[in-house]
Amino acid sequence: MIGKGLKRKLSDDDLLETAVMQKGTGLYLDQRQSVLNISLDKFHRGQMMAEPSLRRSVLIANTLRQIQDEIRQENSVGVLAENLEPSNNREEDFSLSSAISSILKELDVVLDGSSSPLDTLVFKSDRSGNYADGYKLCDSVFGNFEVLSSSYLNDVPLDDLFLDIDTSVYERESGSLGSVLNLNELEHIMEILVGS
Amino acid sequence: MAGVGGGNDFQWCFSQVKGAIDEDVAEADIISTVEFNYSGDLLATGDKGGRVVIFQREQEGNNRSHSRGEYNVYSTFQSHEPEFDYLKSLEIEEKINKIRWLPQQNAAHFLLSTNDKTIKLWKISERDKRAEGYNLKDENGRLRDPFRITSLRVPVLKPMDLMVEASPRRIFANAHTYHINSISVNSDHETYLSADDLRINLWHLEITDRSFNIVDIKPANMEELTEVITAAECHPNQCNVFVYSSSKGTIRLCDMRASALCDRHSKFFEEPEDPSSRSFFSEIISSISDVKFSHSGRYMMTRDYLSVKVWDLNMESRPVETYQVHEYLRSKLCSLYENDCIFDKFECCWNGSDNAIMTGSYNNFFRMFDRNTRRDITLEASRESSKPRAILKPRKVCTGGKRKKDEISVDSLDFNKKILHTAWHPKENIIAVAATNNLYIFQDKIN
Repeated sequence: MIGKGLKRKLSDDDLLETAVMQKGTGLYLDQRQSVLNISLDKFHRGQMMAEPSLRRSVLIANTLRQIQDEIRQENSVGVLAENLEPSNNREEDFSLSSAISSILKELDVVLDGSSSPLDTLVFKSDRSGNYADGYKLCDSVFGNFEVLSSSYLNDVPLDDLFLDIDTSVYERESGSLGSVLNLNELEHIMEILVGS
Repeated sequence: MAGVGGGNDFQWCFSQVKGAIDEDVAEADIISTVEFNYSGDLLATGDKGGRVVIFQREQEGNNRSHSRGEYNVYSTFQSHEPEFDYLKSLEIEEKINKIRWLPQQNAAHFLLSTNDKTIKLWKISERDKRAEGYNLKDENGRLRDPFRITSLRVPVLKPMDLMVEASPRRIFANAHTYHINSISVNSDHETYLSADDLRINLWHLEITDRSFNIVDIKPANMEELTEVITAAECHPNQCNVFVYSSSKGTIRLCDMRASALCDRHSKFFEEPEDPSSRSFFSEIISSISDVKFSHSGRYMMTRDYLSVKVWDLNMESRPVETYQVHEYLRSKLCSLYENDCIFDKFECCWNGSDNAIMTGSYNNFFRMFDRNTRRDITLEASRESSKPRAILKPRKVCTGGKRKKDEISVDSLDFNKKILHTAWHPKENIIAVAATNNLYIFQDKIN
């Protein structure tokens, strides 16, 4: 979460709290990173809740998109933040951006119970070749927000009825161990984002 | 010290508290909605366990002159049960999201109660007489042998202990894909609307197998979803008008005469954002958690995370009044985001004459604002100040610097003690405040 070699004092937590701060400062970037991490974690947890709240998910997704847009803007303009190491800047920015992009695409699929299935997910591998795992998310959330009752058979395309029983999830090699493996992969993603 | 809602000598006093005193709160007992009926004689609460408890105000005949009628339990019933959606492997919560009373038309009382998916119309009626002397049944209800009946008699009505029965008269199901957040009875007393995250439906109270979809904000591509409906309400006297609020802090007023599908609003209310206070959480704290028309129908009030705003229906560009509920939380938004408190949905309410408004906060505090004098007060719903007719002491949160005696610092606030639901009697200065599993009733002290 913090650039290498920089120590943080306890009092800086209060500064991180401050909602309004100067864009482009190290403190601002720290808070943005913090909010990004919290948001990702929240979103994943939210999907695994017994009662996923659409409002909550949408608000978190919007927050993530806002941060993603900011980072994209900064990358395209070539603005380098102060506390990122100069040598790794471009690479880290791009991997951060692509990681957010892939996770947001998962979000999109996850929010939509009736989208076309897994081939819309874009998994970017990091340097060591591991993939972001969104299968757990999709599996638990497909149609989470949609109840297929008889009165809706008219306006729900027939294909969507079979989304829930998509068995390719079980055929996928790396996802076979279920939640433990998924957690590990999620953690790996977090590590990439955190840059540690 | 002057309070809010009445004349200069106005003060709020404790009247009653309902619910268990236990520190250990059962999840099912958490109150999720509070609503007075049109006369104020009945007060209904719904809880997370799907139960509805109705309190009735005692008649004032034999009471001491300085105390008002107390509210006692009138009826308790299980409105909703947990359901399981086998297709999605999802449980549908039995939590009562909203209760709305229908105006009384005969001796019975009717109310609508809803959970996330199903709305029910309940009839609450009294029985204080029993028929005796049936021909075909004996005293115990057993059928009499027909051959033994040699004469006919007319059954007589005898008084019995009052029994209050609640029976479900209509069940309005299967019309909402997403979670229902609001129901609102129309001023025509024949129709009502129900709103979920993406759609609003209009129902006729007599018809359960059909509803009209009047608002649909679901995008064709769910990837484009960035906004949800958070609350909706019918106008108090124009039966063709309703409003709905969104997670982006906007309110749309719609006229059902304009078109069948009210996707295009008649009016759009949004306050331009103050660029100097923009943060990562700006959108989240602008999300409107409740919208209520004034009794007059001329104004409406919205509650977002940090403030309450009063809007004139004739002015869409900005609210006419803004009241800060707990501005001291603005610097804590990151923590509140982390612990999910930022998503809490606070409600708000008007008093009967529309000159005062009330809403809840944390630490079991609730706030009242007098629109005329611009005075505000913070009070606490706690067992400590629960002596009969004890005057409530105003509370104050210390925002920085030296904490005075009796003030509480922001960091000491208990964010688990939230007051999300409050209600104000339609005619008198009596308020009901839900604090987790307890219902507090406060009233004014007549000086």
